[in-house]
This record gives sequence, C-alpha cells and structure tokens, in this order.
Amino acid sequence: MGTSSRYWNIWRINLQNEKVGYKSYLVPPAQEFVAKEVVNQTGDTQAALLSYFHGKNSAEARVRAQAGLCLRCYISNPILKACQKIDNLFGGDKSFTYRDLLSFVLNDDGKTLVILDSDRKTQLVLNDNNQVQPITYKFFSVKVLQTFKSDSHSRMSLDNWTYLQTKQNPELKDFLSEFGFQHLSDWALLNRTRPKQLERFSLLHRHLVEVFHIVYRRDRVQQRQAGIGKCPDPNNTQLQEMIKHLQERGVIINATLDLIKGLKEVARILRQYDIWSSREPLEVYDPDAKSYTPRGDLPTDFLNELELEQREILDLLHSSLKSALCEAINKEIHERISTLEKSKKYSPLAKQFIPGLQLYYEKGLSLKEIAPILGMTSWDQTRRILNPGEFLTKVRDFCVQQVVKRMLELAIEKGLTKIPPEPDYLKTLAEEVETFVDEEIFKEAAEEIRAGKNRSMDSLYAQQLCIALKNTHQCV
Amino acid sequence: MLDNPVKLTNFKLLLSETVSMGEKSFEQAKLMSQHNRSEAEQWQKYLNYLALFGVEGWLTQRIPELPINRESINFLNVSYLKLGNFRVCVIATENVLDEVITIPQSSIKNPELAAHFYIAVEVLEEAEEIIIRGFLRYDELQNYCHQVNLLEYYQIPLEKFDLELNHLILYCHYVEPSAILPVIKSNFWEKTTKLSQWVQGVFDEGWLTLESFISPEANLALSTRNVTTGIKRGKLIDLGMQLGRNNLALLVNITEEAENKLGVLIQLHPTHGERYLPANLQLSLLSKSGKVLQEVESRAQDNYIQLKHFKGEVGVYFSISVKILNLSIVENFVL
Repeated sequence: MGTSSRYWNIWRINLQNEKVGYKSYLVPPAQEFVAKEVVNQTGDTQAALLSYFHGKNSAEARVRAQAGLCLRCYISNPILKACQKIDNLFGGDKSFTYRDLLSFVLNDDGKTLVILDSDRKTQLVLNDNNQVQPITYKFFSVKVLQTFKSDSHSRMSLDNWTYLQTKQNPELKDFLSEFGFQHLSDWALLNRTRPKQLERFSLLHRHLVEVFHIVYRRDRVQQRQAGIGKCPDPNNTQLQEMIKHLQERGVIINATLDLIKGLKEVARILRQYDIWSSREPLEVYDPDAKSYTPRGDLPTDFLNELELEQREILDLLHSSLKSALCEAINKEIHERISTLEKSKKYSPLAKQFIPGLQLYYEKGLSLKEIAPILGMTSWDQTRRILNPGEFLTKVRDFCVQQVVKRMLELAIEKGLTKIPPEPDYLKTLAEEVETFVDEEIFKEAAEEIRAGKNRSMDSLYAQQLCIALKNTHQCV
Repeated sequence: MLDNPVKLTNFKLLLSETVSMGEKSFEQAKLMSQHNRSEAEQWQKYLNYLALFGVEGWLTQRIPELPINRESINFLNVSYLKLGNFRVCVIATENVLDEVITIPQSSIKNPELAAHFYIAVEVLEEAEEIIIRGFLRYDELQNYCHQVNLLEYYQIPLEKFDLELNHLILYCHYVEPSAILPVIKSNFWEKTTKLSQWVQGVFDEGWLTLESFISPEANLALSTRNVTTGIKRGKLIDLGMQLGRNNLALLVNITEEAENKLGVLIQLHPTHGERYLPANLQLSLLSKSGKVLQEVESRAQDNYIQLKHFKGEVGVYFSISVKILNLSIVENFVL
C-alpha cells in the first residue's frame, strides 16, 4: 500500500479560486522527506512522522520540522472539511459560508519550518541556518499537532482530533456566535431550545425559557400567520401570562419591559455556538478493537482503485453520462414548469422560470438581482421559484439513477450480482457512480452555485443547461 | 493521482436537501397537534407533523410511482409513512449542530414500530423549511445499535446517516423490503412474553419457578400481602460487567381478574445471596410506544423494589425496563 499523498499536499486559502476559495498545493520538501525517511520504514507512516516530529528518536531539528510539515499537510484536509461541515450543519439561510471560517484555521503557509520546544508548549521557527527563534505567527495546524496525544492508549484518530479542535477554535467560535444564528429571531431561537442547551444556564434563565415555551410556543402553533414565518415579538397578553407563570415559580418580574430584557439576554447567550455543538468526540468507540473507529464522513483517501471489472463498466458508461445529463435536464425543466403552473401561488410566474434561469446561468446574475427584472416581489420568492440548487440536485440524482440502472444491468449480465441486489451492493455501486459523476460534472456545478460574487457559470453542467433552456424556450 | 489527491467535496455538503413548507402543512400540523397534555408535547408533535409532511412531499416528487400513506403513529419525536411496501420512520429535530440524532428505542426494537428507513429531518419552523439530513436503513441501524449500550433513546451520530437520499430511491426501486427489515422476527428482537399463556401453564424459556431462585440465605420472596395468589415466575437479568456478579431477578406475578383482564405485579430482587439491590436502579413500566407509565428507583438499602400493581386487558402490550447508569434492559410483554 502506498503512502497517502495527503502528507505532501496542503490545502490553503486561495482567493483566485473564486469558486471554492481554496486550493491544494504540492509541498516538495514534504514529499522528499516522506520518500527519503519514511517510505522504506515498516509500519505506520503517521506514527513514524509523529515520532520524528516530537524528537523521539533524537532526530535533529530539521528532521523534526520536516516531519511536522508532512503532518501539517495531512491535517489541512480535515480542517477544511470541518469548515464545510459546520457550514452545512447550520442550515437555512445563514449569513456566512465555510469560506468565512477558513481564515481562522486554514492559515498554514506550507513552507515555514516549525518545531516545538521540549515541553511541547512553544512553537519555534527553524531558519535556514538551523537556528530556532520564537514564532511571530502561530499556525493553527501546529497547535492541533501540539495537543494531539499520539501515544495515549485508545486514542482518537488524528483526523478526528483535528475536526474537534477546528470546531473548538476560539476565533472560529466567536465568529459563529456572531453570525451563525443571524438568520434566526430571538424568539425562534428560544423556541428551539431544549433542556440539553440549558444545562449550563442559571435557574432564572431556565425559568424564563420554560414560561416562554408554555405561553409563546403554545400560541405560535395556533396563531401562526400564513406566509409570515418570522416570529413576532411577544404581545402584552403573552408577557403578562409569562409573568404570572414566573410568579408561581417564585420569580418576581413586574414590568413587561424587564421580562423582554431578560428573554433577550437569554437569547443572546443562546447565540453562542458552544451551547448547540457537541464537544464530544463523535467517533464510535469499539470495545473489541479497543480504539475508535474513524468517522465515515471525514476525508479518506480517494478511492481510485475500483475493481477492474467495474472500471471497465465505468468506461463503458462514461460516454452515456452526457446523454443522461441532457435527458435529466430536459425532464427537470418540464417538471418544474408544470409544477409551477399547478401552484396556486406561483402559476402566474411559471413562464418566468426559463428566462429566470437564463439570467442566472448566462448572465451570472444573483437571485436578488433577478427578482425585480422578472417582476418578482422578493429574493425569497425568486429563490422558491428558480431554486437552482434544488434543480441541480434533482438533475444529479436522476443522472445517478440512470447510470446506476445501466451499471446494474451490466453487472447482472456479467453475473457480478444476484437479483435483486443486496442493499450493500447497491449502495457501494451508487457511491462509486456518485464519486464518478460528481468528479465529472456535479462537483463543479455545485461549487459555482455556492460561489460568491463575480462568479462565472461555465461548468459543463451550466453549458448543457443553457443549451437546453434555449431549445425549450424556442419550443414554448 | 497527484492532481486530485483527496476526495474532498461531498456534493450533499454543498447543497442540502431542503423542502419548502406551504401554508397547508402548517395549518394541518396545527390541527393535528392540538389536544396534547403539555406544551412541550404539543410543540414536538407539531414539529413531527411538519417533518412528516415535508418528507411526504419530497417522496411524492421523487418516487411518484409508489403509493404513499401516512400512518397514525406519532409519538416522542417520530412519525411514520408507508411507501409502497416500505415503511419510513421520520425523526424530527430542530438542531443538528451537536451532530447527534435521537431515536426512541422502541421505534427500532419494537417489531411493530420498526421501519425500513429512518429519515433524520431538521425542522426550521421560522424559515418554513425542512432539511432532510440523511437516512439509515433498518439493518444498518441495527448493526450500529449492537455496538453501543442500550438506552431508552439511541443517540446516533449524524455522520452515520446516509446523506445521499438518492440511495433511498434506489433501494425502493431495486431491493426487496425483507433484505432490509426481515419479515420474520429475527432472534435479535427480544421475545415478547405472552402472559395470558401463563394462565394455561405455558412458559417461555428463561422464566423459572421461584424455587429455582431461592437459596436459603437469599431474602427472596414475593412477600407482600397481595401476592399470595396467582402465578409467579422469575427471570435472571444480567445488566453486564458494571454490577460484577450481581445478577438481578425480575419477578412477575399474574392474577386473573374480571372482564378478561390480568393483574400484574412486577418486582426486582437481588440474587446470589445479596441482601440489597444496588442503589439508583430504575424499574420502569413502559407503554407499547415506549412512554414511561410508572417508575421506581432503588435507594441505598432496598431489599427489593416493585411497581404498583396494575391491570390490563388481554392483548395489551407493555415493556419493563431495568436501568442503572447507562445500562438498561427491556423485557417485552403482552397480556
């Protein structure tokens, strides 16, 4: 088994890469180090690097620093992944993306040679003359390595340790406390609070949340106004009732203004990321192996050794992917329009669907810019009508289904699976197809949707979509 | 290989599976979540229905060829749909930042509540949206639950859930339902002990006469006044390593009552000559849906603990759970 190239490729912020904002760089000194010092050794590459880095085999400073560089490359990957994962977990129309998080944690330059002093507490820079000096700018990656207990029994993996440390990075947490819940009103935040979040709260604050639930959440279900999702401020009657409930609990608040102030204070605390996230390692402890089994969602090396027979099949299907894409796009355009036409609310705007998507993909306009051009009332309405993300997801899923169908037919023909297939076989097959179609088409397409300003929509998917929109438009 | 050393971007991390909720869904969820005992229950039901309707809408769109029917079961944080020959359990939550999805034990382990697919749904009430966070097949979930301790709720890491909802569509198209959830009850499910059969003198394996427990020094007797009559049997319960060799005996006493009812008295005793039960041992009576109906906890020096005597009609299901720290065992019964 070869050594993972993760040890000599580092992920760094790259603003030129407007779609994703990061890029992988080859780090030649790291590559050389692995080739020279590690590859010929028997055993675990990572363990060898860690022991070099910590100077266990009385390695000289340069060797320690180079081993550290390899490890810094390695963990740039879970750092990046953690940011993307946090972005994903927040959900909804939040006001940040993972790109905002990268600058706090993905700050390693992939060059500077860094070692730790003997107590592992101080980072030191090693200059070209092999002299050490205090570091002026601390790399987050080195800090992760600094705290990783590689030798403790039943340790968690370095990947998971990195993930956990990224989530616990103080600057990142501050940022999330400020921006993470911006899209939620104080009242919605209070509504979704559970005992688990209140563990560290004072008794008074817990009472406030409980009476808020009793009154406000009860009414929320009953009085929800159609179409207005935003939670309104609690009204006077509700506040008076809460005050009464508080009195029963021995908490005296007389003025409704004071109550509002108290509730807002609780909401302010609730905006802290820590209250909602988990500090526990989420790896599963396997008592038989006496270790943690790695998380399935953390990065693993790219599966590029598909079984030969399947690779053959993939090759065969490579050509048909494009036709599946065209079919999927056309199918989805028609389905979307007919769904809109059937909708009471949106039917007058159904004919705007194609021009809208054209503005989005051909002119690169944002949904906000498109709204007034097409006579739509708001960004939200435009988003619900055009929904380029959902459109893309459905096209992709349909493509995957088509390709899986073809592959299953071939697999059955070749006697590679029984009929009906086992769930696990089907899942593995689908995952391989997904990896394949995402690399070919959909990864880029998703990234361009998620990209910020000044994006250009030039993926293969965007091109095919534009052709299909034009053809359909002419037909209509 | 060097150009792209690592598979980094998961498509579904970039674009979540989001479903917008219409007015109708809110209106219906409101009507259906009324008449609940507590506000918290009402709110959770309301969320359950929103999640259910969202998933229903998603499935209707994505698998139009299969009939979809709502089931009336809706308890704790789960609700159910029937999708062709598959059953779907929808789990509603409002927050996934802790990366844990909580599933009631009974919705997996009770054969009547087990489903082929478990879909985790985040309800964004204010934004009028749901996000489908992923799903697990029954067999995958079952494998996972084998690895962890038994608790009343299972805490499943979110990462165990399959982000690719597409796979659910594929399973529905190609896989036999029984390959995911066996139709015949597998051995894993604890047997349901049929108490009405005791009256006819039929006892399942493991239920022993009291004599077989009693050692002279053991203080083991169903000694309270109201249990001099009826049928008594006991079962050894092993809660695992933490209690050392300290096994427990679950004693059940059945009496025939009027109107086709059975009376039940449940006690928990120490065995192996121990005088006292360990402290903080919880003995609970659970309804079929997993709701705690009665609970009693041992103190420092209890010789035994017991639940209040209860009666029920023949055919009614209930469970008894014995719990200490994070270890628990559930025994299922039908009257």
